[in-house]
Amino acid sequence: MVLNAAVRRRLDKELASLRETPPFLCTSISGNEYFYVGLTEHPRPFDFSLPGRPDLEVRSGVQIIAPSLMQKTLERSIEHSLSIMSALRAATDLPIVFVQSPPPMPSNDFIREHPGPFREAIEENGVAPAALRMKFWLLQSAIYRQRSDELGFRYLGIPEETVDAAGFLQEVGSWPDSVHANPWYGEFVLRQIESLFRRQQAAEVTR
Amino acid sequence: MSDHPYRNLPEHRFWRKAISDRRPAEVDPVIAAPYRIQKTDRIATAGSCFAQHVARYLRNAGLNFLVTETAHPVTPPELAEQYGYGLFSARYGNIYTARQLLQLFQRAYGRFTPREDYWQEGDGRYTDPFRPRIQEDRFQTLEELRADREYHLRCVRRAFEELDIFVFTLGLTECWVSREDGAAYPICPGTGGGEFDAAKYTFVNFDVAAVTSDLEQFLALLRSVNPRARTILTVSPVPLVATAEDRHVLVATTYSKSVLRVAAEAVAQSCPDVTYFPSYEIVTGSFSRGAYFADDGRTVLESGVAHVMRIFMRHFTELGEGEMAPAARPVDVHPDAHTEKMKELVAVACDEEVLANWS
Repeated sequence: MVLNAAVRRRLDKELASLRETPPFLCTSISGNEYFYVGLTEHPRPFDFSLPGRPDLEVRSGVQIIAPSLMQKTLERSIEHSLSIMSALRAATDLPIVFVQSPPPMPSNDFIREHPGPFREAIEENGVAPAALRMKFWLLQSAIYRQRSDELGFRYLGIPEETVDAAGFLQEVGSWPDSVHANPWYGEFVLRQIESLFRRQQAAEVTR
Repeated sequence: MSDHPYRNLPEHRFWRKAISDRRPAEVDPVIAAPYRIQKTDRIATAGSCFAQHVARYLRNAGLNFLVTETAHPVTPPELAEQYGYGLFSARYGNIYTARQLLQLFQRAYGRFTPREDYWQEGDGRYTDPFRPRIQEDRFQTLEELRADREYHLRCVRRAFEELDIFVFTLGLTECWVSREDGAAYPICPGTGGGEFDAAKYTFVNFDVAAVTSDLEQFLALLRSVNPRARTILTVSPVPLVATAEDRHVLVATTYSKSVLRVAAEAVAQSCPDVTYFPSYEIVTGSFSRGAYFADDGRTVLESGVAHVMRIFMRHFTELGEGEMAPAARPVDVHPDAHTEKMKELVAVACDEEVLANWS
């Protein structure tokens, strides 16, 4: 797996324009793929349990999908993004930091009020339960974390200050399209990266 | 020359004309089927592993193979098959004994609730004792197991109520049951889940009377929810992988298959809505010189399955054998418009961000 030639040229150009070699590259590849199964209710409702998270409810009266089958299904749907990670690894020797995608929003009302491109789908089928959204995000994050570990990426988890007690994104951090987090959230992530950068620099000095 | 009962009998009544004078692939032990399955008839299947082949051929031939417990459309079909979807009409896994079939019906309709309804494994996960190999990673929680079973049994009820033809392949007479309530397990506890405990489980080897009675009880129950149902019984030609009886596995196999064959015959003779189909004879008959078995003497080769299904299609379906398509085809291929649409929307949302990043 290699990067597209144009992307590779762009990367090389960006790196060459820097006055000094950066201590690491940060990447945030996609991250919302799970929305295709986790944002709206499916016409044939389903659910699955997430290992280690019995607190996330599994609905009764709907089709239950085995967690490993759900994971394999999700892995297939994010195969392209996982390939990009591999290509990036092959493209540079610099350390790479993988930034975890923001967690889902807890409020179905918020999603209904800010449906973004999903308006019709939501009107037709409704919003999926928050617990299902959370399970998909956690499952997807676990897949990205595993690939990060395999490729030697440093996995940067979400800023803890941005989530509520149940681990959902605080509403103040939600972009009004049901998909993305906003600059408030981004600032916390930048601070994390900055902190990582400073630690790295300090380590260089003491070395 | 004196007259006698064998004079002027049709060819199929004589071994030489029906077997010796024919090439093995031409042997056809079916004389006449009582009816022909129409393309619109909904066919449900259950039984031992050989029944999976039957299901595969029926589906590939374009007959109306009834599957009420389909994989969820968000899951890729080839992955779903590994989780037992589409192998049979519902996700019950292999049903080896008539007792298991009877109890499946009883469980689906709330007439029997086994006291031991789960096994907790060493890793904390849970196994459904009545379909222990339905998914490799078992169930994470008891709630998940029960929710899945509730859904499964609902699908089983639908299958029994909606089917027109039920093809059941009898596999075994040997079985392990609960000492407490007689619940019949598909495999011995401890071999594919659970833990063996001689105080909890006991071995039974059903005789002709027991198998016949179980089949008759099941058929009566099936008729009670679906009076139009017609049943085709077959016996699996696959030998026992092991016997719990203190005798040679070959002898145990002969006994087991003999019991099943006699019970199937008895039921077919006494029930007008039941027909026997000779899968067992086609695969194990001496005419093939064992050619339908792999080197292990147990695994039925595709050529044997094809012979069985050729005869089945020829006599029992309106399509005829010309329609037979043995090549495997993914199960439960059902386009999921919702999922495809959502993928597009997510991609659009992502693409917008990509463009923004490069602006």
